[in-house]
Amino acid sequence: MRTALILALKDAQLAGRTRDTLLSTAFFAGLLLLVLGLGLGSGLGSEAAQLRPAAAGAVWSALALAAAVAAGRAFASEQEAGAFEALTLYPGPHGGLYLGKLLGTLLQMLLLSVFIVPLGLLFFGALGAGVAVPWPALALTVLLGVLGLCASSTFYAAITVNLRAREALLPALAFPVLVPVVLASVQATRYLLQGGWSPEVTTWLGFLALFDLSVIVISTLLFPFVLEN
Amino acid sequence: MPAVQLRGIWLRLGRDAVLRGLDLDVAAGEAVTLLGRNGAGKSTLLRLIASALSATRGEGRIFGYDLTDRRSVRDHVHLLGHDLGLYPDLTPRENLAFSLKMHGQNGDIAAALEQADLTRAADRRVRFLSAGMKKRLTLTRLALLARPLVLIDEPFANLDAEGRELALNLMRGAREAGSTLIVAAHEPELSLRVAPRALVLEAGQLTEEGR
Repeated sequence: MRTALILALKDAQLAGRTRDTLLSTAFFAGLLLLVLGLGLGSGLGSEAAQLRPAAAGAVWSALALAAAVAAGRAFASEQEAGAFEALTLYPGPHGGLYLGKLLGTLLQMLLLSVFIVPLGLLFFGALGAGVAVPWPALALTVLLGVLGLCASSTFYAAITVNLRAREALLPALAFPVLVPVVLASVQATRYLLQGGWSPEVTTWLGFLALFDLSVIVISTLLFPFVLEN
Repeated sequence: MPAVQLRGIWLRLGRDAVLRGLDLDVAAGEAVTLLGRNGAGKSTLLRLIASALSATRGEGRIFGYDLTDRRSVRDHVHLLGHDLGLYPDLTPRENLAFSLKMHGQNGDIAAALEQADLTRAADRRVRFLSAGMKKRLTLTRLALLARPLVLIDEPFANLDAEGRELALNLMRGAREAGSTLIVAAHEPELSLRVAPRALVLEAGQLTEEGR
């Protein structure tokens, strides 16, 4: 865990200084919301309310793809600095490197979510006058959902870091693992937006928590084999 | 116990066999200069010893640990590779602090930077340093990180006369601290001053040896 914290702190320091990952993921997620909104006929006018059922799906699609970009950058930046090999040769268990990269990516994605989630909900008519949003429950959903997205994407980002077409391959490879996270997050968000906390929300969030834990444990155990092969 | 013991090591990168049945013995505390033309496989051999690469065939031990036991090998080896491994948007001080923490060690970063004449650049981002300053910064790790086996790839590249002297001093310091040293260099007249056992890598094999 010590290695993970040192690495995450370094990544956070670099992210705060360069902001390249944060800006690129924010731009990407914002653009995706805009394209989805325009494609579905949204605007900020009266038609936006008709798109309310699509809000959760649009927001989580944007977050899922942004997480793939952020996780890819987490490893690509090491490669660009000529530091990736050195990183794999530090003493200690390699699982710590996975957890460190996961933590660094998670912090940036949570920061991004603070802007993207309200923006998406607003754009798709799920936020505004007369709409009650259960923010604490939504924040918990975002935390669990983003954690799941980052956990899966970070693992696959390490696999693709040495490949030439890594930007294209990462979302494709991670897709099967991202699907359950996106589905559960969309369902939980949809139920929350429809009527607040309900047994369905509890079920979906329970599934998300279990899925996140499983992915993190399995990825931590498998990570040394990924780096060594 | 020997620091490095390699037997019949073959290593293929793509279709090319870079190392072809290579044998190597380095005693603990010894200092070796690895010579050879560009592409002879010097860097590859260092990376293999550091466990960054796996041998296609053959076996090896680092301080008694099998090469396939990468975690134990990593605990004993420090590779200063061809890639400098510096984060361009961190300062020299931050880069060294990160390396130290990742190795679980403490050290006097200010003194190490002073020795490398980098005190005035200590808080500038690395991306704004010259190639020579970056190289000196990389070598400064030698003064801070104590490891039983130190592998250095091209320590004199990009360095002026003063920088080369610094590299020699840092290598001497590592030897005096008890580290075994293997240095891949194109400047035998410099490297042999600190690492007097010369091995020549040619066609994937260590074909010549002299003292």
